[in-house]
Amino acid sequence: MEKRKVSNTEKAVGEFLEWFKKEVLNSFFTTEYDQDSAEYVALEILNNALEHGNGKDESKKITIEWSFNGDELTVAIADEGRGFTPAIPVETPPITQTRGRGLFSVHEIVSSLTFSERGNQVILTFRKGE
Amino acid sequence: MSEMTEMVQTFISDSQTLAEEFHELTDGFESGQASTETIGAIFRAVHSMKGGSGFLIGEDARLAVLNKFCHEFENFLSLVRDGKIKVDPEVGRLINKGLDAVADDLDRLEGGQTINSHQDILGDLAAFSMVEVEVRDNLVIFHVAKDIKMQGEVDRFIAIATKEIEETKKRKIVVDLQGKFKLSSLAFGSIFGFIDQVEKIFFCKPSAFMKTVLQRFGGNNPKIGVVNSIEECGD
Repeated sequence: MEKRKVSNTEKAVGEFLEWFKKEVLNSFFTTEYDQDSAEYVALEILNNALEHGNGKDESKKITIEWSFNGDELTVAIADEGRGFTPAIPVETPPITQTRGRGLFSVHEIVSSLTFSERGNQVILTFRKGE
Repeated sequence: MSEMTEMVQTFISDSQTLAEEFHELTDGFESGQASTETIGAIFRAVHSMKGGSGFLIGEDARLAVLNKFCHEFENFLSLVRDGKIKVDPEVGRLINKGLDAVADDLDRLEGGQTINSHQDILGDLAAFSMVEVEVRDNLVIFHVAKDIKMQGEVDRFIAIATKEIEETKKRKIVVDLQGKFKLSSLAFGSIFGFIDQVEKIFFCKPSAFMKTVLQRFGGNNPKIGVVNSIEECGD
């Protein structure tokens, strides 16, 4: 499993995401649609880690690990917060609600989405061709 | 000289005076030093030039180019003034470039010459502001200039959009993704926040994946539209 630790700032997260898309996602997924889709998932989980998990605390870190297994890519994103396991919405929130769409939309895209026992790590599985 | 031509000449002269006043105040900008008061004063001056040039476009068509530039420069300066863009040497240099561009335009207007559209500076301003704004009849169009993913980027875009919707009072807004730019769920949610203020929100030229996201978030809502061209938004 490969691993990176990223500072809990928008700049660092943005730079990591750009690198991750170019070096990891774009080589695993072969269509632009799938590449964009996977990048979106990573962005949403990273944003949650940055804002909610780490509470925008710039002294904290986000740890991203990933591994390949044939047609499967597993990505685990962990923050240094206390952890919690939110309920994943089953439908999109009302249009006037500004927030709450991230996990719903991610859940629709990935093959699986689980939380660690402590609740501060999200494990995603992408399967090619799904 | 006709009365209206005198108005244009007065506008140019008054604007040149304003531009010269700022010349000394911007000394520290390129090392990232800019006081809130100075930024506010520059914003007000550019806002005034935007208004004056817009009012006098009928008298001198060249003023449309200056008006466009001042509009984008003003949006950028509003973000700096409100702390959504931090002043650093790069931002300081861009402010100076903008002021030099305006001063050059005013000199060229006075001399009867055509003025530069400053596409390079407009591009730099849009990269910070996240968006380039166009107002057309019943539409205010936000041509997205880069992916809007993180909270800070969303805040800048929403600040510009809020300002434009309040100022223009347009009832239809268009978010032009230009076939390539992407939005996070937070960006979408924040844009949907305008839904009670306008008749309709159009998303123009979303990429294939962005179209899928939009359908999930707002597919059945009659106030959300997905279009392939600005013309489909109607007036």
